[in-house]
Amino acid sequence: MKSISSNPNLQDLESVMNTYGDMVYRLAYARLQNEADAEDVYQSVFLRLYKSASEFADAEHQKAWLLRVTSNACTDFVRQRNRRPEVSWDAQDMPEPCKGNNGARMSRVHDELEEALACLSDEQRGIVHLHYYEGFSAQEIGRILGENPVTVRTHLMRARKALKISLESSRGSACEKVVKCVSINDYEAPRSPSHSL
Amino acid sequence: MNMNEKEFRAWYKAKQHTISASDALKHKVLAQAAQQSTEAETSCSQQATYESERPSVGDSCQPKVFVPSTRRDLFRPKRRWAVPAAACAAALAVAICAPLAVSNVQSTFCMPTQDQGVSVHPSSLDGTDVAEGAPQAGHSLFNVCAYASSLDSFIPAEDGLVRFSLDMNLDRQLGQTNDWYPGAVFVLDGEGIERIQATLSNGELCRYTFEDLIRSEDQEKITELLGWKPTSRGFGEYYGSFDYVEVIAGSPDLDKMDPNYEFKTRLIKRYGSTVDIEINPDEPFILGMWFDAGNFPLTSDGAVDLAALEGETLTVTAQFTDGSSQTQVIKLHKGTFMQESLDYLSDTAEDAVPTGAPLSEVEGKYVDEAGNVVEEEATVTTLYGEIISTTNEPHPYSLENANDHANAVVAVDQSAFEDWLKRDLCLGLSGLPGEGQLVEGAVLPSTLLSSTSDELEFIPVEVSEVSVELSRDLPEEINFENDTELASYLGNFEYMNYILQARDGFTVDEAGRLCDGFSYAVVRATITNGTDTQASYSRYIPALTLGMQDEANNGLLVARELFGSTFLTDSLAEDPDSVVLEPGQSCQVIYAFVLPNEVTSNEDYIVLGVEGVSEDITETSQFADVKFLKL
Repeated sequence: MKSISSNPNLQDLESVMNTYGDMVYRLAYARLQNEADAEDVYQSVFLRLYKSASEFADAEHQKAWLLRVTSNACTDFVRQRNRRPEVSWDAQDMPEPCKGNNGARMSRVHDELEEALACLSDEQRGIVHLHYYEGFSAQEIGRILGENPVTVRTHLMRARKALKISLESSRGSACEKVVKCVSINDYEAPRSPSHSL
Repeated sequence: MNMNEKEFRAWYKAKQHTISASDALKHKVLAQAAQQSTEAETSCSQQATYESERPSVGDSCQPKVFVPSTRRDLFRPKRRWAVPAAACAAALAVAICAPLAVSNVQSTFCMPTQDQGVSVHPSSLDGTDVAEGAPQAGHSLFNVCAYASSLDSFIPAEDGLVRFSLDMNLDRQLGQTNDWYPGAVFVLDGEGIERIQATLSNGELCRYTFEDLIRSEDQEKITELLGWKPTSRGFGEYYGSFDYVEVIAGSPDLDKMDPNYEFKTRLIKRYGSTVDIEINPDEPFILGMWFDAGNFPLTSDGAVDLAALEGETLTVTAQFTDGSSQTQVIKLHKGTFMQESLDYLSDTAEDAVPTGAPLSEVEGKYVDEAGNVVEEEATVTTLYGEIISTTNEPHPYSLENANDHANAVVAVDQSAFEDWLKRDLCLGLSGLPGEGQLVEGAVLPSTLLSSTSDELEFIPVEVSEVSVELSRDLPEEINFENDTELASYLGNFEYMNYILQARDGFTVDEAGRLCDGFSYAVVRATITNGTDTQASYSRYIPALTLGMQDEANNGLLVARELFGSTFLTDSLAEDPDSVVLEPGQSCQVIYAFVLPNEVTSNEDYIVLGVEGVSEDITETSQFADVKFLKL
């Protein structure tokens, strides 16, 4: 089997970006909903690939590696952003979770879908993206992301439910419905243990 | 309205086709990669020279990261632990080649092992291409190894037990906080680990880093470290982000002022009950445990009773570069073992390393496996872990709140400390000095601290030509860094201001200018050695203090805060804070007291000889012998 080095020269790097660049960018954008942030993640992923020393057995392996590193980079990015003490980014670059695209091109349904997607957690959006766009099963997503497949399925189920509710009801904003949905569903994945004795 | 999955997928795919990475972005990445290549080549050529001087450093030319010099050998065990550690590595090599059977997930990745010459065969994602010879679930792809800082090495698990050594130099519980560090420090040892997730079922995990500093090269850092204390958590340019800092001397054979004198540090950052972090293969990732002592039963010496951790779990997951992951669950126990005390450097770092099987306790005595009673002095009571499961599953706990405390130090409740600090800037004394205390000839007899005596000895000095002026700025003769309180805070400007604010209610800016509402009362005076022998005076305790008449209370308000002072003379002693005066010789002294503006309106200052004035006095009668000048 031909081994694909993950420490490519610049031509190789360009080739990998041509093949997988949009895939990485779309996953980052799906999670972060912001061009500048997605670009930051894109850069960090491919620079990491450039510096990395591990080897890939085939193209699928390389693709899975890129998706997982992108997902991890998004997770780290969101953690940093959430804990940043002051708002240092341009408000125009911020995701607007409860405002859909009001462009004339979009139908009302699509506006509501956009709203509902924006109301999902970044992790849920990533899983929706990997499932509905990249076509991976929950098990495959679990393996790519290093997540328990049960957790992936739970995220997917909750995302589906949130999207469905936002379309079924004509009352209240999409965000309100998502919040309600989250609060009434027990989260199946194990939780972090309590700190107290 | 409703939309089925097929419709949603079609809509979502159409939406994605409008999203793509721009050519400009690709070019930017290529340019950065090219620049990194250039920098790496330069760095390698520079490093080659450096490496030849420090042979312990690895020879690879990886992207430059900070790794403390003595810790770069972390994954190259040395001394007596080299053998078991090497055996551990060999075991890993075997495990890597064993079949990987994963029940549900059908994970098919296995470890890349160029060194072993094994055919690596990661599968495609559909799970149909399972590599022959992949590892079995239950076979460890990584090892949790207790870390002995004094050895600068790790101790691999043996017989399924992780024995945590005790870092005897770690001050386990910090004053004024409930922080408690058991010294149970560990690393993950394994090839190809790129991310670590870990959850402690009770308590939190923290990250340890170790930094070695040389006096001549790292003076600013050393100064900040030496001034660190629990209440200064969050302050400081270099170490303000750590929750606990400890510095220990590392060069017992050198004088402390030797430029080559080495300081070894422990820098601890709390992360939270769950850690999820990408690791750099060039930088050791060392974890330890943290507990809130307020939540645990304590032993008679104030330590957390380790028995309270009995049965708690440490769950550790390693994600590998090939996409696979493995999780080990380690059950914690309190245990007493035979110990081996190991000094890294005499009188500096020391570890008590548990060895063998846990000892039994029979009638209050410890006995070994053969039933022999062992001396208690030869034992150590510590935590140990029992590996109860190894699976090729992802981390079982939610990562939502991972690294909860990583980006900020955990606030210490300082209220009791601040209450304790609080004081009034002026000492209020009832009554006024009597007429008999007024000195004749405007020469105030006083005393100054001797700078040569080992004892707290005060020697006479005459004070004359006294003047007072008010200013918000520090007089230019007083050097802010060397002659003020800042020096006593070892340059930690933020922490000094924190204390000043809590204690006296004022702060200064970086030039020493006072905040609104306060003034320096700058007192200039001449001091004369009126004795018949040479005298060496220190400036730490002033020769005088400043009083103002408190008409409302028919008493005095005496300044308490001397922020800065200096001698103006060419007769400075070796110690820059002292002056040597021959009999009859004089020099000028400048004192900068801080006063609130509401008390400086009365310009009828009284200068008091400092002898006999202490913070204990509250009645005029108690300073009846103090002489004063009325300006």
